[in-house]
Amino acid sequence: MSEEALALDDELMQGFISESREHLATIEADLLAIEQAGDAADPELVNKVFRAAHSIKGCSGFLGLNQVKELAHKAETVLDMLRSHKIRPNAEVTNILLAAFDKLREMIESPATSESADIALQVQGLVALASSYLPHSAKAALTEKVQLSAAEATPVTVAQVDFERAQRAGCCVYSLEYDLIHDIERQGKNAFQLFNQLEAGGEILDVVLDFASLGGLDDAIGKCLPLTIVLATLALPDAIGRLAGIPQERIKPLFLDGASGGPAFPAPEAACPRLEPPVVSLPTPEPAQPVVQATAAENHLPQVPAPPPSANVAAAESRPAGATGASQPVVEDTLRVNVGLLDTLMNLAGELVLSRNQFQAAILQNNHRMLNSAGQRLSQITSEIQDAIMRTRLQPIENVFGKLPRVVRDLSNSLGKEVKLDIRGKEVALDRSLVEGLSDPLTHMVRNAIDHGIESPAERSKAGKDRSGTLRVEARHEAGQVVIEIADDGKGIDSQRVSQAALAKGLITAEQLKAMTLQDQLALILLPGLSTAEKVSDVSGRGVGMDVVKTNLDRLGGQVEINSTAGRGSLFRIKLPLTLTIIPALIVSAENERFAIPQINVEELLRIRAEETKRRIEVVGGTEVLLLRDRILPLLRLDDFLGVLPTYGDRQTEREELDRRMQLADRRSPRYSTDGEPKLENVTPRPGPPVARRSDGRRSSVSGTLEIAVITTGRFQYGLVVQAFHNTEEIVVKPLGHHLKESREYAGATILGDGAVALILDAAGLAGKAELSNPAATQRAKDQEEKSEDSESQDNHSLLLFRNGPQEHCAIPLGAVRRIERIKPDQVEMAGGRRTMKYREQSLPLVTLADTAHVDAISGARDLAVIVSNIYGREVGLLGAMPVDVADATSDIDNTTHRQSGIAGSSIIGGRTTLIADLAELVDAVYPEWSSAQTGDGAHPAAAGKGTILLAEDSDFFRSQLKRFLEGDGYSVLDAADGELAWGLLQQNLEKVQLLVTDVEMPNLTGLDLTRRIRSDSRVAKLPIIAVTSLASDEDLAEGKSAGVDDYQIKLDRDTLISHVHNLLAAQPQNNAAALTAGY
Amino acid sequence: MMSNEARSEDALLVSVFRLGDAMFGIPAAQIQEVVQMGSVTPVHHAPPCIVGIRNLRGRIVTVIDLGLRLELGEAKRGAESRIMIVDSEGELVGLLVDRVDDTIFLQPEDMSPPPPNLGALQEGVMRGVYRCPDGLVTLLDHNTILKPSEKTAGALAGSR
Repeated sequence: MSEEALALDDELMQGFISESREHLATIEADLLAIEQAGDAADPELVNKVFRAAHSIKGCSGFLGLNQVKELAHKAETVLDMLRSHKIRPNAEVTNILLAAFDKLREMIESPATSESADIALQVQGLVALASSYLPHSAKAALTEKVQLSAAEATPVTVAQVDFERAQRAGCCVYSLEYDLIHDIERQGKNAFQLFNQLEAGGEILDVVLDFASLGGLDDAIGKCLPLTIVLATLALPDAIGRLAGIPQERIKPLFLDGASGGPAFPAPEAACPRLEPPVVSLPTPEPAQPVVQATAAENHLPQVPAPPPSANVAAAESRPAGATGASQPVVEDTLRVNVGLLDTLMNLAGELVLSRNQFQAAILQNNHRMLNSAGQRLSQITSEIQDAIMRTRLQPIENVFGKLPRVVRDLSNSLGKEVKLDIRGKEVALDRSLVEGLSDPLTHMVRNAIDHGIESPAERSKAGKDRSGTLRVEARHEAGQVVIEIADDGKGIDSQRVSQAALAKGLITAEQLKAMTLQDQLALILLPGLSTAEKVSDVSGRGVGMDVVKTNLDRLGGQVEINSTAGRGSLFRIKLPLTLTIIPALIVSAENERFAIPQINVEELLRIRAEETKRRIEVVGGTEVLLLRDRILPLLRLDDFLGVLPTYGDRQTEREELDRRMQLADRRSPRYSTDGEPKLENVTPRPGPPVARRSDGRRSSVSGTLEIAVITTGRFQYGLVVQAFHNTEEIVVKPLGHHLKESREYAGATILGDGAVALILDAAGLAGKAELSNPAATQRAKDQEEKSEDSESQDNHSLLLFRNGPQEHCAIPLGAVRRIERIKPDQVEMAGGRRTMKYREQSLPLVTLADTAHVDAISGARDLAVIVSNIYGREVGLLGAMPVDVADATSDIDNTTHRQSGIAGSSIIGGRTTLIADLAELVDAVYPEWSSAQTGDGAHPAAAGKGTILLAEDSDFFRSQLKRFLEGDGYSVLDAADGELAWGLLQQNLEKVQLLVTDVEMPNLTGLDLTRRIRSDSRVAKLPIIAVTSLASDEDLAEGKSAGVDDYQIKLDRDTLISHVHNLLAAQPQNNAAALTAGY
Repeated sequence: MMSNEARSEDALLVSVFRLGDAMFGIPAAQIQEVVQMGSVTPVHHAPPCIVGIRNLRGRIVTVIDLGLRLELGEAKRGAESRIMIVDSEGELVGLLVDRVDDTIFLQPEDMSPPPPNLGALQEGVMRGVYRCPDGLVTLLDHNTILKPSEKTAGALAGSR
């Protein structure tokens, strides 16, 4: 019969499966919530779970899935007792119910085999549970069935418990006779709809589909397929007729066999609303013994005495430890999409057709203007479609997080630990492929945190902590990525033990270990083959190590960071892209080919000029390393890496040399950016000698300008030397064919705007192939640090170069730049005499140097750069002509010769006079109301005569800038070109100086040394100190704080600097001078 | 160019192409299309017989030098060279050959088994040799060509 049913209607089956999935999806969480709330459980929640079981029971019966129906029915019985407060929710109850629902889910996912599934264990558990709460005499009712019959109807058999429940609720039981073919299918209805409809007015006790009456297919026409529904309801027969939509004569009241009419019609006073059983317990009926043949159920239940519930709990717990949640995660092949979103897509598709028509017309007419506008329109529609499609694929992370309460509960119970789970950010959505791929790693990390992280209650109280540990799992959006944090307040990771284990297993050498930072050591747990569990528990011994977590996350393009404090807990932070198929990438070239690097891996871009290479690049142990601020990064030259090819060995020597020569020539000739305009080659001439190569193809010396992308991927960080940087693009990732699956250095390929194919570099694979290893690099780093400490430290400031007029080269300090947008000149609009552009649905004010300074207007450029910065808390764009470039300027900035409003000074960069823009001044001139709005809101105290600030800064340019900022705000400024001079000035002006603003890197006496000196001198020890720097890492900040710096600020961020000066001074109310005098 | 009159029921339609002096055939039904060399992006560190990857209307196609694959030396790259696009388990693969000649019917009675003195790379890829008016045509099994077997692992799998 079941096979016929399966074949009956595949669509119905699919409907049943997807509906059941929905029911089951929330059940775990609901059951856990019920358990937690105990007696105070929300009745609506209990009802919800009950209804889920009930609905599964009803539908599965109809589809002939008898085993599913049987189990759902038993679960329903227990849930009903829970609902009527006959069973108290506790861990045992939850365990048994969860096990039953797990089994249900498994069976529903594979309906074809569900009939042969073994459900004895689960059924036994449920029955035992129910019977242990029932009076002895009622126990039999659980498995017994009663037969009901009506005058002219076939007798039906229903479970005794169900019938009694209906009776207690005052319901009458009717048999509704439908014909599946004529009453339902031919009416365009669906059986499930009917069930739902009927459930609104009663409770379906059983559904019987009589296939026997249906002959062969041939004579099916004209025949009927009787469907009998047993409905318990309070409604009277005529009302049922309306509800059921069938004639009165097909609705027959059912009576207990042999009973003469009585029991099925209740006494009116017993009537009460069906779904809300009275809380005042019913006169807990010794239910009427079945008057007639209470037949032992013909179900598969072995007639064994019900084992005590605890035994069942053990059975339920003995599921394989790996099977958290249900069985295997179900990869769904259908997806629900919001109709509104679908409409949007449809509209966009229409738009797309229109622009294609526009395109065709433009091409036919050879109309350039029209072509342009069609192109713009197309690009806009494309990005909207992309966005909409991406949103259809987004799923809330709740789908993964939803499983965690169960995992935490099961595991903490079995380990005897107490864990509070704090889940945040369930609503964060990300691509479904990511949601699916995240499930395993996340579950493992949570298990890990409970197994290894959180201590037993006893240990915790001994350590003075709350007995129960807290596990926080949080998802949030951060800068276009999704960040997931798993934090516990347990004992933390013993970095000592981790590193010793790694050492013992030969994963690292003692030398490497010596050079490792704490973070490096913690990251060792991600290495394959490392397990620090002292004893293998069933949790840690499951063969899934953190290395697998790492591998899984790598595959998703994710990164893991680990932080841990002994005794305080650990924090795992995972960063993930929003989607995998379309990613922003940086296009670079090497070996005269273009490659894409996922932007997520690119930390920053550097250009090292030839004359700096000696200072910035060292060769240590045969490997080049780059000195980047306080870090040392191994360098990987993409050209060389690609060039050292086994395939090239096949080639003739002549040809190879030819290739090389072409490349050299290429390096000296002007490079072209993708838009065909020469890049600012002259800004950075390459005066160094032609790059020499040894015969093995590697450069023997470090020379020439280097373009370096700083790449971060998990534990690897390195500098990738490329031939040239191009633009950044949103690229569509396409997989490589299976012949190239072994090439781990590539993450796939993409098609660029011009139709060419570019390979996507896999940052981690590349590092692995090049045998970069960070521990080794760290060792070198240490050697280097010692060396570089006494070497001269000089300020280097990165400048963003752009052009104004065709011959005017301009620059702005890179630190002030938020981002750069590339636009067409016609995107600039005029509003109220000022320039603006539409940007992300908002209007972005624009300024140009020509607004205040005597410079050429921008003209003739095909592409404009909008350099977005933040002034007075608002975004503003500075217009320049493409292309833009980045260069390091040394301190020789001349702030007199070219000084004018909007221009802070000039510098010779690459042999050209380059004007350095003062964006704040420009904005002051164009939008004077901004600054008054800022000062007018009371954030800044009255300006005049505020006091004296000592300024120590070795760069003339920055000194004059900072001085101007401070004086502009009403302070008197004493300035000094290095620490020693500043110290001298301070001695002379002890009573005047109220605050010190100091650079960090200065000759003679550094800012930090100056700070230490001040802090150790009782006369001035309390002087507020702000350190300014062009770039600050966390370590810098920490070092500054330990030296006694009150605050760290980025140079040239005028607003923030000024407001911090205010705050610091405000926090020191007493007159500094007075304090100082008292100190004498 | 070649006669295909009097073909029998079980004649096999093949595309004939050249590598060096030899003629080969692949069942025409297996060939999706034949394209010019176009712009092929090399894949560094890939197995030697892989020329690179190519854009075919938005799909990425791996291009294999059939000459190198069959140990006959690099296929000529010139005006006549062509890439035959074949479907390999749902993935498009391009086979680079010196030149594509014609589509002809091969008669089963013209077939003789492949010569026994084949190199390791060629073994299994040849289904038979046919006598045709223009000379001998070796019928290739494109599935074997594309599937890296143990014997061909050296040529097709990674070479690092």
